[in-house]
Amino acid sequence: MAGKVNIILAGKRQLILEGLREKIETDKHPNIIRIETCTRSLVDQIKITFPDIVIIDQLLFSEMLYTSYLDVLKKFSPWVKMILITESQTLVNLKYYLQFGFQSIVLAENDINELVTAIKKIKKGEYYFSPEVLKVLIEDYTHPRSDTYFSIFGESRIRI
Amino acid sequence: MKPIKIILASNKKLIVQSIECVMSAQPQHFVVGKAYNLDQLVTCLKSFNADILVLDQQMLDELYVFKNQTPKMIKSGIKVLLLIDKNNDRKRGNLPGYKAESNAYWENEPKELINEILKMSNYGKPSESSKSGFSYDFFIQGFNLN
Repeated sequence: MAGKVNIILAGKRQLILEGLREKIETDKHPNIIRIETCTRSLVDQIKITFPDIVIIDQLLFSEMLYTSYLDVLKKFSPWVKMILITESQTLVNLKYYLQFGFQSIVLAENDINELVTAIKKIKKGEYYFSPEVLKVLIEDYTHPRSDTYFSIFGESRIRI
Repeated sequence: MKPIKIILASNKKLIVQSIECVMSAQPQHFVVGKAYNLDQLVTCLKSFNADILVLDQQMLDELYVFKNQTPKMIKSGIKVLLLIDKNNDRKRGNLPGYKAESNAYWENEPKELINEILKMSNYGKPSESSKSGFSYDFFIQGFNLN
């Protein structure tokens, strides 16, 4: 069907996934084709159903880090656009997520409409990060941590 | 049937709203109040005459640690349904001297949460899942470690 965006929702917490499905499907374009709660079946379903977008929560993503499924996913399904729902706003984690290739990062503390916006943006081929995530990334860009560290280190040396 | 008044409380807005979406999809009529932080939870408990509090385990911990309170201390008549992780349920999420009326797992389907809420509101009896498991080992361990 023209204009439809096929999405797989993946995460450990089915209670939340079902709620997200209800909300996302109120919009006419997104189509939730699967809800997956285990890494193996997620990778299998991506290969079978060829979704446009996979929305994955941090718990399931963390589980994938300890298995080879993440490598399989990157190698065999590079076309899949991915949105991460995370509770972590630490710079180290955010950088890791970006390196992995997430097109969007939405925080669990965000409004549910952030996720709907992320889907719309990604459908157009854009990237989308929630304002809190952008703030952390911009702060790192404008005031890199290494500079801060060395300036503090330098001051302490001067005092000595 | 009289609508069931519920407070949904979690620091994660997206989670609260997704549970709200689940409830709005049910034929059973719920009236939902939402709390995204401790202050909102306290205000909501005092002002919104709720029957049931659906509480994220993390928020229960924070309420105990930061405000030194349990939901019953704020509103004595409230029934609490605690949302807990299957793999890390911390002895079913309870606190010293406090036990929630019922538990539900994040990993389960929404209908189980709805069923628990209906059970609590209809019969006022604790569910099977909450009958065992009172322990304060977790908190003793947690405080010693810190």
